[in-house]
Amino acid sequence: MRLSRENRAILKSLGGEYKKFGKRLKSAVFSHCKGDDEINDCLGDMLGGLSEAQEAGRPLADVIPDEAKTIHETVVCLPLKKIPHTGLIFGLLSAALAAMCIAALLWYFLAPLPVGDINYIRYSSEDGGRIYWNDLPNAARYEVDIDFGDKVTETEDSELFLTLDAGGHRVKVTAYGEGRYSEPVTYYEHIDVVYPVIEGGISDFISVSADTLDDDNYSHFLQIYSRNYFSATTNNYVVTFTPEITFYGKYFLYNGWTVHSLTVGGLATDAGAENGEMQFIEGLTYTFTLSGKNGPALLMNIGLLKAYGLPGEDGEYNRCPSGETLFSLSGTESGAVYADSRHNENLRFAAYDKSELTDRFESGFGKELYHNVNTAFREWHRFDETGGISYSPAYLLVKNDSDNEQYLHLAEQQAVTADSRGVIEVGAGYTVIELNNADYKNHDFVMYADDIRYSDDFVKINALVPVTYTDGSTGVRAQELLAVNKGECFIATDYVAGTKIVVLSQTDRKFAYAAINIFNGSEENYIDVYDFFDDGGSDTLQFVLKPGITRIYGGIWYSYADQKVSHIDCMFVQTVNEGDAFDFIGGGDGGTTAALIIDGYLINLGGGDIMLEAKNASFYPRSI
Amino acid sequence: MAFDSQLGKGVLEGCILKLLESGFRYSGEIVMLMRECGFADFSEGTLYPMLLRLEKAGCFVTEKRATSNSPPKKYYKLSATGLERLKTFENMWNELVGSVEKVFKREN
Repeated sequence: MRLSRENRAILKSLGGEYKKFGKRLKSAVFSHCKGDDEINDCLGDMLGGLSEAQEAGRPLADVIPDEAKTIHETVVCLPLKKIPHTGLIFGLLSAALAAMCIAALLWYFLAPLPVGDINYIRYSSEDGGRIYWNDLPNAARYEVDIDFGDKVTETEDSELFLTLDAGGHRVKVTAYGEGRYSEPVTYYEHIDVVYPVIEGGISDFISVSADTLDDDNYSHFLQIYSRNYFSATTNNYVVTFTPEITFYGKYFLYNGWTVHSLTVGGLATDAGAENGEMQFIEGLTYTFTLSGKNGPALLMNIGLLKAYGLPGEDGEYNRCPSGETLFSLSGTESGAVYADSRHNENLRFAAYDKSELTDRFESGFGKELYHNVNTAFREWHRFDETGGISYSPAYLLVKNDSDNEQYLHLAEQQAVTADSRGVIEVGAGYTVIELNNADYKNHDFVMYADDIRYSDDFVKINALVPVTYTDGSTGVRAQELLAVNKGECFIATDYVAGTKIVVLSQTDRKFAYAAINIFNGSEENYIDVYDFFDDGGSDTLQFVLKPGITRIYGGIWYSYADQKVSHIDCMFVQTVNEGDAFDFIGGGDGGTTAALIIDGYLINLGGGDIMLEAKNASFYPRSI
Repeated sequence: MAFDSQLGKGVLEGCILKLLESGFRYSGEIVMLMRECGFADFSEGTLYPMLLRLEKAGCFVTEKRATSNSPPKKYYKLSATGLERLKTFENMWNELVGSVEKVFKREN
């Protein structure tokens, strides 16, 4: 398109601001409009007007006040050019490119992202062991897998407090994020854990034995310090020492030290605990593996208890104050303790063996540290599972949970077959006699010792009858100990199999005993005088008195008119030796109406039978 | 008098149609007449697009007339369509003037 010759001439004739406007108008029209004729026609009219106005000397602002507005309104009144195809294609491509950019931006801002990179995993043995790795700000939690699933745990922090054993470990950490950072990241490393081992890395320790303890003190402390020159880089020690101690004790660790292991004795606490309870036995070597901070710090306090002998000295009660009391034992392969209080539900004990700590409880009582002495009496037995061999407990730890002092006694145990007669020897102190092998219904169990001679000599005796409680548990029905004086028998009635007789004796002594069934006349432990004289025979009464006790019953001696009973005694609780004559003890006054019912016990404390013969005996009154 | 609004444009357009009702006139003559009638700010810059728009709407019959010392001038005169459009404008204008007068003469 081009300007017509006429219009070019007009435009050329214009000058100054008119010419400038004419060119702007021409340029705009040719740029946006089509149709040469129509454009030249329009421009011709306008340029002609401008030429006339210029000749008239009018300023352009008077003719065209708003140049841009005039040009715009002129252009829109003419036919506009169409947009070329190349522009359309370019526009479409541009739109597509813009859409792709928007999609890329959306993907960039909204797509799931990895939670981050774990670059390392480390292990520190300080503070009891710690696994740590670089923190990922976008991680919500971490899963830690140690040794291929051997231990899997989770944590929200970039560390895990855990003690690893010495050696190689594979530690795998998987980090999980939230929101956009939902793609987990896994990383693992092989970690070699080496604990520096320093034999003898502890200074001289105090060797404590029973003799060094004051009698009045119940506890002492064995203190272990680290040596100064180990305050370097290592923080783990192996401590080996042999404490010459025979005490149950508690240990307390300080300054963050922990016990890794106690290789002898089966530490009664978990490794790593900061305090606990354990027992030290004389003659055993204990190896502690400690870990903790550096420096010459106090590592460990071991509280010790003094061991008291059980039973105590003559006449001494075995005091159990509130709290724990340790008794040392000796002698018996099995034993029993007896508390002389009927309200000792708060008294408990644990029996310890010299050589074995981990299985120190009697069969059937589980692994509890203490047994209840809840029925005044508790016995212990320790048996090898294979050989049935019993071991002697070496220590007895008694715990008194009450506020009151109580007393505990070690009792010897003996068993008798109580359906016959016999003699049993008991030592000073407590003896528990168990009655075996019989059904004792309608029986009396009689015990007697006639050597109680002095006022300060005493025998106390009691029967402990087994009972079954409503909850199915078993125990014994206990009574207060009964004092038995000279010339008295102890008689237990209505007892059953398993009944235990507890004897507390001042000195060693013999007891005669018998189980007597008065409803069975044929029993040799029982002599019925009526039966004897029913035979209508001799007036001489003869029978064999076996060791133990024989009961004699029956016989009424009468005295008629002037026929006095000059010498009628009954045999009653009197020591009779072989070959000796004996008298009846008690007896009547010989009056005409005197009568005596013979009903008593004949005692044979010797080792063999005694033949007894009573002459001039008669069921009926007679004169001598 | 300046008319920048649509109403103003419509009034100016009606006035131009009226000036070209009686015979051929060219642009410079139209501007002069409009200014004489009171539209002092009326200029060729306003007139040219208006003439172009009305010519495209078929309101004019045009012809070019040669002059001695200047380029030929384009003369405009109303066509039948232009006359009809002028008539429509006059009717609307009279109604508008009547309504406006009633408003202004009304006593409150």
